[in-house]
Amino acid sequence: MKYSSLRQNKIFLVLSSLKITVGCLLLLFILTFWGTIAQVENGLFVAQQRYFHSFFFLASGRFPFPGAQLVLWVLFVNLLSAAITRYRFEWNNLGILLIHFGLLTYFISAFVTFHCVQESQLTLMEGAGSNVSTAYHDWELAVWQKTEGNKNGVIAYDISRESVGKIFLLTGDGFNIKVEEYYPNAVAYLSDVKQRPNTINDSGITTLKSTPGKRDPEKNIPGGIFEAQFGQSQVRKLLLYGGEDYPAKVVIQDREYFVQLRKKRFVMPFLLTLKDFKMEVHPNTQVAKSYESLVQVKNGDMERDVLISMNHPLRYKNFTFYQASYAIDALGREMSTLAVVKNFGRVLPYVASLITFLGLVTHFLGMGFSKKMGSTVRCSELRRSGKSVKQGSK
Amino acid sequence: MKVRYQICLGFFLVATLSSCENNEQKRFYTEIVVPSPLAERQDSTAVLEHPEIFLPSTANDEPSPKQSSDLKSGDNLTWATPSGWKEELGHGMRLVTFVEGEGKEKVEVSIVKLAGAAGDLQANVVRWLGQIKLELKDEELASFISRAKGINTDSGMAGKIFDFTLLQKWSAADLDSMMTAMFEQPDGVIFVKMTGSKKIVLSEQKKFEQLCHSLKIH
Repeated sequence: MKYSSLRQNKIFLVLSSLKITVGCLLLLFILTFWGTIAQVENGLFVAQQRYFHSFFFLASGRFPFPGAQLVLWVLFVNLLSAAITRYRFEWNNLGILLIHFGLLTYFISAFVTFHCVQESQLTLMEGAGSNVSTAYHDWELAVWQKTEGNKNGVIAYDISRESVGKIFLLTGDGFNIKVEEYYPNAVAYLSDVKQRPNTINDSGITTLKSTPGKRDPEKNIPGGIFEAQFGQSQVRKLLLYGGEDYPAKVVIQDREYFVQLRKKRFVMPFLLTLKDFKMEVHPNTQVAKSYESLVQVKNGDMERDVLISMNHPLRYKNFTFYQASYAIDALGREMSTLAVVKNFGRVLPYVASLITFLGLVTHFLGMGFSKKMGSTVRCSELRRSGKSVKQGSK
Repeated sequence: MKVRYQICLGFFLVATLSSCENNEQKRFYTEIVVPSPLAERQDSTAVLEHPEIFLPSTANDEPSPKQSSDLKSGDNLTWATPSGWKEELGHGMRLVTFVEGEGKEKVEVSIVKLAGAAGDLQANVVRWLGQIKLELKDEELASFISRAKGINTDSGMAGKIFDFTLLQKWSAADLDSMMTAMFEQPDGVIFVKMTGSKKIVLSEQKKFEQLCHSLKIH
């Protein structure tokens, strides 16, 4: 297909309509307003999922309304079609072309961020360190064997309601775990009556009761009944609850395995240790004025101390650490929570901004230059015709 | 580059980026957790997930307080016995004792009223800490006392609740624990004390608070 025929393609011509652009921008305005207001009622996560991450959602539970993801896709196709059908690839259009290329790069960076970003958090007490951050919403079933020191080789499976009935193959020697029941949000009870006879739970939990999910899904605590199998002969029933501090210990053929239902972990290729946490409050109040975490990044032989404070994140490799929260326990021990964002496309928005900026500069300089050139040409034409510029202006 | 190749490249890019979404199920990783030297006890296998989680005691609905027939001591103090707690007559300084469960599952709650000098807040907290074999540094003790939860009874008495399970977050569930309440009054001090394993104390916390709320001086 030749480029000239592509420019005349009816589909591209329809898709490049300015009406679509204006319609999409209007819808984005409505969605942004609606989604922002809805956060008060439904919480940040639910509002994000419903208004911004969806293709469609039901307004008032009845009427389908396009979600921001669909609108952005349409806008992307619209812009791309416009670039194919309308713009002439000439030097005097370079500014406009760069601006639109910059806008398309914004879309690409939004796509990369939406699909590839990994958001989690890391809570450390002063002096503590870790190489894993914790997911906000996703959970995993983690199994490991006790090892010397602070390192554990973990085998983990992502777990959700869809995992019921599945068998997680853990070790080569035949230790598997079957998910019998799974409640995305549950309440654990310590009553005398056991929900299932012969179930093991190290915290004394006997019963799990499914409850409706909370407005903020981050606060949901799942639980479930699992069957630990070792070969065909040995079977143990486990009751696991996401709110337990300790993993369940399963001893099979003199081997100790630890099993825990916990928030999904993301591995960082370095160790982060909280050396010190400082918080300042406004005078005579308990309201935080500023807080900062002095952390040590250890990667192999490299050790580096970095101060993370509000609006001053740590960027290392593809990870960005923001000061998010803090806690002080009953003994006055301080803990700092860092929001961890892994995004290999984090440079893309900057690239898009730079391209758009260059496009604007090129466009306006070009306009100014051609104006100047136009007036110079007019002046020389007037001179040639025997009239001075002043005379002409009079 | 021909347009068809450009379109193919575009599709390839979209497909590659779409595959970034993590659909992987089974994962292997090495987890390194360096415990804080400040932590009282933190097993390297343990990870603090939900420090504030409360485990209710029964699968039934909220236990409704059973109004006792105004048990009056010489100090004219009344209370409502929470459902499920067995009330025993007081002895010695105790106005009343409540028990529930047996053996390791046993919880014991007592109400004591001391007229006159009953020691200051800190001295009492140190005494209670000693009873569950805990020792705190001065600054830790000050922090623990300052974070005690305030309580107002239904009749308007103000007091403080000391939840010692907060100091045993990384400890085993069957460790001896305690929860106490202290109400300083013009004519003396009322103490409410609940003892049992950490697990039981946590599970009976709501009933304990109900009992405290129901205290009334006539």
